[in-house]
Amino acid sequence: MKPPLFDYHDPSTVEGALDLLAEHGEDAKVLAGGQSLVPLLNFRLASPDHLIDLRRVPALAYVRRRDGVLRIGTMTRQATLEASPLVAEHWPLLTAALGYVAHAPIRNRGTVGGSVAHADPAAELPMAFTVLDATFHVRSRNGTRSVGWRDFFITHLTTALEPEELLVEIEVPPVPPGTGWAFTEYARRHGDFALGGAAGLITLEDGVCRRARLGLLAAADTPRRAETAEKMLEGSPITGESTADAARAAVADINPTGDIHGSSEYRKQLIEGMVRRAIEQASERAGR
Amino acid sequence: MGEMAQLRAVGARVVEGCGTVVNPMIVDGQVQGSVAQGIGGALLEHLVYDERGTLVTTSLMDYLMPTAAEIPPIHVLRQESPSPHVPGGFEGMGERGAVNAPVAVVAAVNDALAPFGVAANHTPVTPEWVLRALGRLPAGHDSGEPMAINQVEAPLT
Repeated sequence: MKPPLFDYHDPSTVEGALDLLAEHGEDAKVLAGGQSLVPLLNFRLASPDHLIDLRRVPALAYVRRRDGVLRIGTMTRQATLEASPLVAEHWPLLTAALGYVAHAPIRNRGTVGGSVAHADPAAELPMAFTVLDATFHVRSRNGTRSVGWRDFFITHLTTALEPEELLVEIEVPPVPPGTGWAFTEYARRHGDFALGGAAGLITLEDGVCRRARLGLLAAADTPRRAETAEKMLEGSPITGESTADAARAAVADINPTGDIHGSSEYRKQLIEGMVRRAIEQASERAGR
Repeated sequence: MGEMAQLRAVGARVVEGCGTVVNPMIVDGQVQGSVAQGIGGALLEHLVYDERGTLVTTSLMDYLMPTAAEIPPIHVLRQESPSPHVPGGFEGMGERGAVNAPVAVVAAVNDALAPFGVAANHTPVTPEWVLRALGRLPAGHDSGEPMAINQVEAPLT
């Protein structure tokens, strides 16, 4: 189908985009890469009066590391981040997660900020950023604010962004030395939305887990951290038993939505298996 | 628990009976295409209707056609036997993969399941079905349609 009628705007500066958002916020959608929004428009599941296209705002596309902290401009293409040697060296979890994002042509157009602002709980980037303890920087004509991952994702396709606000930057803190990573998911076809998945960061010191981060994909209405399971792992060596216990705890209070592609109980069991695999892979990499 | 299952076609070897082969490349392509359809039907493609009879798999996001990533290398052998009944000996070919590949795939799945005494007689066979058949997920379902789990006494070979 064709999208409903809308007014198209393509500002060339962040300020221009913020002015348009201030004017049309409630009735506008920001077009960042269009890989989710354009299908939603074509299926007429979304019908904004105004589209504010950010493709002419070069100031929003960058990948920088300063004082060990990664800063990603919201309009950075997913393919650019995937190919970044800087990210591969210091945040390999993010590089691995990007490899699972749909297909290469989609990553060429899709943007990092677009995926985060879309907030699909089955999308890889929002989940990877929660595992990496990211902070989201937001601007409007009234100023700037920073929102941690915990407060940013509110529910399915809903974030803390106000109508007049624009996500401008994602900040990722450094990962401690001695940390192993893992990102794993299962879809029945390559590139489809995952039926379930998990990511892990495990920091080992003399064989003892000092810090654990576990994320669950497609498990709830938001990207989700398994903090109870993380605490179970911290302070002890990682064993087969502690891995299985943590994986069980990670899914104890989730109730994924079932549909024609997989029942709720199947998805829950799949995610438990994925968490186990993520802990195994991450701790193996940490031990190297 | 947290047990997982995955079904993946990892290879296919096909013998196609043809009449006179005019262009071997086209013959092999036709066979590979039809086998790809058959593998899709065996493992992925499913027309799902809701309780009111409305088709719910109406997009290619929901109706899972296989892509190149799901199809293994298909090795094709041609059994060329010209037809005595028509000039040139030509025969139709290239459709059997869609018919026979699902049988071969489900037979392979059942061979793998044989030690557990269960077998599938439907398509598509999904990871969720396998887990239920193996008792690794409780019986009952809330996705797709009910699929019988057949108890078998001896391995099917």
